[in-house]
Amino acid sequence: MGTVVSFSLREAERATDGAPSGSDAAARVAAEAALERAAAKLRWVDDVFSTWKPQSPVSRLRRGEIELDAAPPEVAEVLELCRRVKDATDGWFDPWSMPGGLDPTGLVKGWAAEQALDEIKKAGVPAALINAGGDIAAYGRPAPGQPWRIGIRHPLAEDRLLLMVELDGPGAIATSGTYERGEHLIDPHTGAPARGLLSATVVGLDLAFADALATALFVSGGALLERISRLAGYHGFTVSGDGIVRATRGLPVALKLAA
Amino acid sequence: MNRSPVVIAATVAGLALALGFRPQAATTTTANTAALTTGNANVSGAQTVVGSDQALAGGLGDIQVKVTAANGRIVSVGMAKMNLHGPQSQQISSSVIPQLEQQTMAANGGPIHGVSGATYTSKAYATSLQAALSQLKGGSNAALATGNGNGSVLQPQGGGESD
Repeated sequence: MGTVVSFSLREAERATDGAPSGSDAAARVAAEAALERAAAKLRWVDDVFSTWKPQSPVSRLRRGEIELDAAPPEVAEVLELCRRVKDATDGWFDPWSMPGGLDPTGLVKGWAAEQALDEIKKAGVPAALINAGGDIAAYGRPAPGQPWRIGIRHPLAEDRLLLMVELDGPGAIATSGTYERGEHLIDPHTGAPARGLLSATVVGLDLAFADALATALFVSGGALLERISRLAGYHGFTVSGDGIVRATRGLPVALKLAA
Repeated sequence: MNRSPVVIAATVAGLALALGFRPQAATTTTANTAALTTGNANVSGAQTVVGSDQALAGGLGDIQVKVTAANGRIVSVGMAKMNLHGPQSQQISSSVIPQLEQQTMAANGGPIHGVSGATYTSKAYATSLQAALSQLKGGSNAALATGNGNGSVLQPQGGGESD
């Protein structure tokens, strides 16, 4: 099934209380059309970037059948983002060092979600949130004066929350872990599955980066926390196998909880 | 007038997103036009069904998926049960985590708009989710049945899993 993607959209403000007006209906129609475009974009990204579809441009690139300039320009765009994250993480995120060949998947999901959310934003929806299989991006506020409230799942219990993060305006949250699917995150330095952490979460401005950084933070066993703390606009925390939570200073949630 | 600030939601089920499954052609989008409070069970007229208990690959444990629907649309998808076997389950209990949870609950006055966690892509999850959807379809939820009409939408189609 892949994953489940859900959207939450805030409706445009009504001029007055009362029955829906014609402009409300028009905004609704525009929002629903934007949702369709967002879903279509997600499917398109999957068609282009899937490493499991043999004929996807990325699969053909992996096999050396085509050069980068023969793929849609978005592939080069994504690889450039990957290169920046690789540099920023001392190679802990490295799509070029995966056992099966080039694999930008660790960044693509977050990037795709940002692209989909952008379709909603362009349609004039005042605030929206996308949750792509547990990776979240949002802009605006769910209601006047209210932040988006995002629970971070307990790594060992689906029905329990570990922390709450509030996003006031645009922001993103990504979590990497092996609790859902066993050991599948690869340490690019060794080519072996990463061990040591239960989960790693990154909060930041952009979900493409947050997604890739969360993957890198996880496979680093937490060593990247210090580096992430020095990236402007990004925070992170890890949960280790012995249940210890380590976080960058200034993580929004830590401040909220201490209050 | 009180009204829900977030009034449109949609769920796109069956997307592979380069995660390792080939998507079905019948992937559907459910555009939710029902007024709802996001992400919890406080939705008026909400119906929650629980899917079948599924074992995770490799003896890791077992899970059960729950789906909440209101006005014929899916409101939330989550886990009714998740038992993970292994030493970390014991280790975690004596840790910092319970303390944080307590603080979170104390701070948790308002609605939750989303939950971040590792990707839900296990085959067990898909199978249990599908079982839950089938229950909804069996009921009076015509719109839901239409929006997710293809029962095989959520079935993985081979291949492995990556992130």
